[in-house]
Amino acid sequence: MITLVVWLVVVFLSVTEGIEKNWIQKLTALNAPLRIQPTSEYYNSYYYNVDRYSSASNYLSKTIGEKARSLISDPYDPDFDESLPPTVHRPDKNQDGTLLDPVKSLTKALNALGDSVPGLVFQDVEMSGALLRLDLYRQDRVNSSSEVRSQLTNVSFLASFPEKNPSLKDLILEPTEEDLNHLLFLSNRLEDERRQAVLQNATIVELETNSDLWRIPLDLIPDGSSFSVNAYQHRGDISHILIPTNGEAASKIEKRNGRIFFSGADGAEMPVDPEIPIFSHGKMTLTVDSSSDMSFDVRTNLQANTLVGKVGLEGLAVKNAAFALKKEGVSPLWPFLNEENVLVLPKTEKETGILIAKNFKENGVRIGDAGYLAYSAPSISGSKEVQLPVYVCGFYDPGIMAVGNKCVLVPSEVTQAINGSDSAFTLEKSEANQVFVWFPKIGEAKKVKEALLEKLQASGIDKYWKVETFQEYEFAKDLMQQFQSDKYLFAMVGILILLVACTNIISLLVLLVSDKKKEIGILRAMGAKKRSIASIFALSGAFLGVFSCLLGVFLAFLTMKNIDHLVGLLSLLQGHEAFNAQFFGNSLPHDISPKALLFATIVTPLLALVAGLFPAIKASRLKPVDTLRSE
Amino acid sequence: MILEAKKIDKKFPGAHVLRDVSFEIRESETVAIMGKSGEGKSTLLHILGTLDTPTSGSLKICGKEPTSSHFAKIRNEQIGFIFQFYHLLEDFTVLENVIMPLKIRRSVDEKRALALIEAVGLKGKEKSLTKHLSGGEKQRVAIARALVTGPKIILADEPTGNLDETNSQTIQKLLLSLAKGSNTAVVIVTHDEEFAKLCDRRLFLKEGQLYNARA
Repeated sequence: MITLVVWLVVVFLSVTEGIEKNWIQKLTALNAPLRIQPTSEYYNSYYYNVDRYSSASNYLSKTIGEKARSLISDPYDPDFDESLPPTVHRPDKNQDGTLLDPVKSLTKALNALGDSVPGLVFQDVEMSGALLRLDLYRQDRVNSSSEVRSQLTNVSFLASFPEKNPSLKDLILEPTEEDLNHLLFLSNRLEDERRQAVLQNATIVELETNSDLWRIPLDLIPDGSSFSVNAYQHRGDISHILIPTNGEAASKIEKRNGRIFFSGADGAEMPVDPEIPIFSHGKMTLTVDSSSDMSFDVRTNLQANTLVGKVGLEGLAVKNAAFALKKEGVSPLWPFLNEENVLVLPKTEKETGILIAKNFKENGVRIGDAGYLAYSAPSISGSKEVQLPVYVCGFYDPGIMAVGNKCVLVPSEVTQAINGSDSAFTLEKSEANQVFVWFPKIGEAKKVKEALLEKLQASGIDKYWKVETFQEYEFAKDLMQQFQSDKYLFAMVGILILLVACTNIISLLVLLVSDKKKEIGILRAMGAKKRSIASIFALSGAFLGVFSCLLGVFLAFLTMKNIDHLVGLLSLLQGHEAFNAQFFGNSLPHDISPKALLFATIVTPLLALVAGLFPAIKASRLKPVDTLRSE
Repeated sequence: MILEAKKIDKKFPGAHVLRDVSFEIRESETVAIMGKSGEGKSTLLHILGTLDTPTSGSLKICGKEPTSSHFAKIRNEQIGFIFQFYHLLEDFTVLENVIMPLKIRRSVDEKRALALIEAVGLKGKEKSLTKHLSGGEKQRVAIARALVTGPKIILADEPTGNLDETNSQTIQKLLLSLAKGSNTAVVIVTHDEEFAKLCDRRLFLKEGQLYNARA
């Protein structure tokens, strides 16, 4: 019973804590554990508004990033620029009379904070919106030489690519063989330079046949080899030959001196015209030894023979490949680390690479699918639609985002271009441009926030910025609280069940005491002290507790290690996925939570010891005369 | 004087079992207490052995009046018990049973235990579980156990009450001779007049009072 409860409590707490950690990690991975948003004070300030009236700023308002990079705090030149309208507030000045620069001061404060918070990085992030339209070209399943085209349209939020985010790399899904096959298909289709980028950055290890039938190039069949085959005839002549990958067949072919000879069931031998196709029948995997462009040196076994030679990709697909994630030579078509070891989004001559949420991948979008981002921009004749050509260069795990799966990660030039174009698509200002702060010790988010606020106050810019930890994010608040109450609720239920289990110990020991009354009497008659008798039973209780607890922890440990199988079984029983991957992550957590372990290993034996005390006291109070009486 | 009981009175709800019982037992003296069933012989014996407390009266063991906190120590060091129903630890071996009082005292002396087992005639059965022994053998184990701590007095409650005649006589002789040999006083509660006659002194308990018996 105790074992069961300990097991349950440890497993549940470990799983919830693991999931919570997972969530917090996901939440803070993209959104950062701390974010700094400009307040309305900022947007009303002279500092923000003056750019629109200054020629030095091209009469355009600037983002936080541009402000940070800009060399001058006050671009306005009263001698050159037209006079400011009365709606512009008076400038906030420093004590020395220079203009107060909230962005540069913030940057300074964050840099200073970096000294006391190890691993702290920050970056300004811009959001905007646009219409994403992708053309999906697919090979026709029925007729492989033709193709199907479909379109995907999605109103999307765009977020500038936060390359400084330390966990970004883990959020981006690595390209898969499916992506690779698709890229090869697309580059074949358009015959463009992308093929080089693909082949130079992916090492193809294995190929497999697309279907059960694959026409074997004759060169691949070695001299002196023989196969048992099925031959098909058309008007008395052999039309094609099938070599089954496993199993025997009625006839035989043999290759001698570069020529194929067929011998039928009757034993008569005849040469086979090289034009007659020979197929392998059954799935085949080919190991790639080396490759150049689209020609692969492969090796494979068919029946008892080894086929070696060069093949193209006709009828074949990549089964296994390794992907380069760092640039060496031609840039890959997926996100990669550049020469400075910074993660960047790739670009082709025409298109900009974008990252979309991973659920698109589940819906059939592949790396390489291209289209455009559309947004409206003002022009002389009204507003016109601008189309920015893009292609999907990868997928990311959005974790928990305010805008969920609709967020597209784009290079910051894109968000700047759209935000600068006075697009019809406007976000709330505070969301559109903010500063994200990442640091490894997420648990210290509150402390970091306090420290930052102090620094902001010291430089007098606290009114311009709203600092929030991830616990305060509007979209995540409820969830975080839910996690907390889930944990407390379960811990309480656990303790309650544990109490019930302990009453079990009590009744078990009480039974034992009554059962051993005579022995207790004998020992007492022989001079055993009350204390000794009591300690026997108290220790039995404690031992029972410790043993059950250890067993429970051990079982929990086993369960956590094999949780995937367990979930598989659950899914099988339920007939659908027991745990939604969107919600719980790809696999449930495997680690025992230290808190749960502490709870189990301290609380349980303690409760068991207390439970053991009752029967122990009862045993020590037994009068030996009552049990030893002979009459 | 090993044992001095003065004006022992014992009342149970609805029964006055012992009235004003006084007597003394000297070193290595053997005393039989006789009486009808239900006269309180066992109760008296339990009071003498500090297993029970009198309603009033005093008890001195080896010249001292024990307090309740010392009962366990006194039972372990000064007193040996033998019961009609043996009261052995059935799931333990002969040796373990005999050695148990020494274990309680934390001074295990296996040689002594083995010698006593030999003395009661159970050599070769040291490793047998007591539950597999016959009644006579069980009582021999009990005698060895009672003697193992070298007590000043053995209190035996109907030690042969559960045995056949032959066995009874053997056990009676064995008990008395071992007690004499180790200078241990013995108080025996018994129905058996023949057994009583073997003792130095005989007492009768009747209606809660103790009388000296004349031969």
